[in-house]
Amino acid sequence: MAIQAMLRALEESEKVEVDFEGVLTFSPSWGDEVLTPLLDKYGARLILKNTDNLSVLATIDTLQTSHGKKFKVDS
Amino acid sequence: MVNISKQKDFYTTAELAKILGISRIAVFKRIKNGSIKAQKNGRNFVVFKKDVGELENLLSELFKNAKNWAIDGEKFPEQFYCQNSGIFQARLVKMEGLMIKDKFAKYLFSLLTSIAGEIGNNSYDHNLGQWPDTPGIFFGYDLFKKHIVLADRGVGVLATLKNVKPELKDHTSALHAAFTEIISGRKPEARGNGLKYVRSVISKNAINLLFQTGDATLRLRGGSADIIMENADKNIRGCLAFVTY
Repeated sequence: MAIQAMLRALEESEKVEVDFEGVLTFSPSWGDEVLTPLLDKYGARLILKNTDNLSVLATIDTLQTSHGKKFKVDS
Repeated sequence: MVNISKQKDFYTTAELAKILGISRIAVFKRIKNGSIKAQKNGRNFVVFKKDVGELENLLSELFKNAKNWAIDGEKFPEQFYCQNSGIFQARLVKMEGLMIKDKFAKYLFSLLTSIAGEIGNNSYDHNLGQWPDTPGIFFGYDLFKKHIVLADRGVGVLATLKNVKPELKDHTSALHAAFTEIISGRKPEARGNGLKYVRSVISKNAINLLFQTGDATLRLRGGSADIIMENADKNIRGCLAFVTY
């Protein structure tokens, strides 16, 4: 809810970055709760950073396949 | 690619050796001392599956415990029981921590943890408020043997998916759909990605899965997206998963 409040205050041109630094394990259950709504709302403004973790990469891949939309990844 | 194969009813000594992770000589020794029952076939021995029960039982005490609980409700050590998803999450995090420090698991730890998490969470999500008897799951792992086992006594995949796909008629087609189709038996807005994720991860890594529900067994071998469906010898109402790496 706090994140939503911050997101509402964003300017139209501002980027939304999700940084996976320090994330040990990620999975589609989490991905669908967090990333999917962000992608739907912000589209190309959403950027994912530090995505080297194997489960983060695999989750992004699964979400992209099921949504038919690609995430912007800053590598 | 789906391979619905007719189950062969025996193993060769070479196959058994590979599956058990021992040499053929070790298999012959066990045949000689009677711990593996075999029949001579010309110059070779064959071991009928009915004489060894399921191979996974031979490989894993954990698997045997989980399976006997899933089928008959046989008790197992308390340390493997996760009554609710909060307890499961905590134990999953513990496994994650141990794997990070384990020489065999430290490369794959995030994939193994997320796979176990998706399978385990499915059990809670699909049985919420409607556990037929014992709620919660069996969750155990053996880092030395490189095994992870999960099981539940829930309603099973067919009953869950029939709510959204009433045309599903048997456990085999339901289990196959669960791993290949984007459907969700939980809520309309959730996309049911978990088992597709599991299959995708296995197809690209040295991780294997055996998954049973009802009378259907699904096998995934590391490095391949091929699904092998078999009939199970004993029916399980809920689900049983055996991950190896």
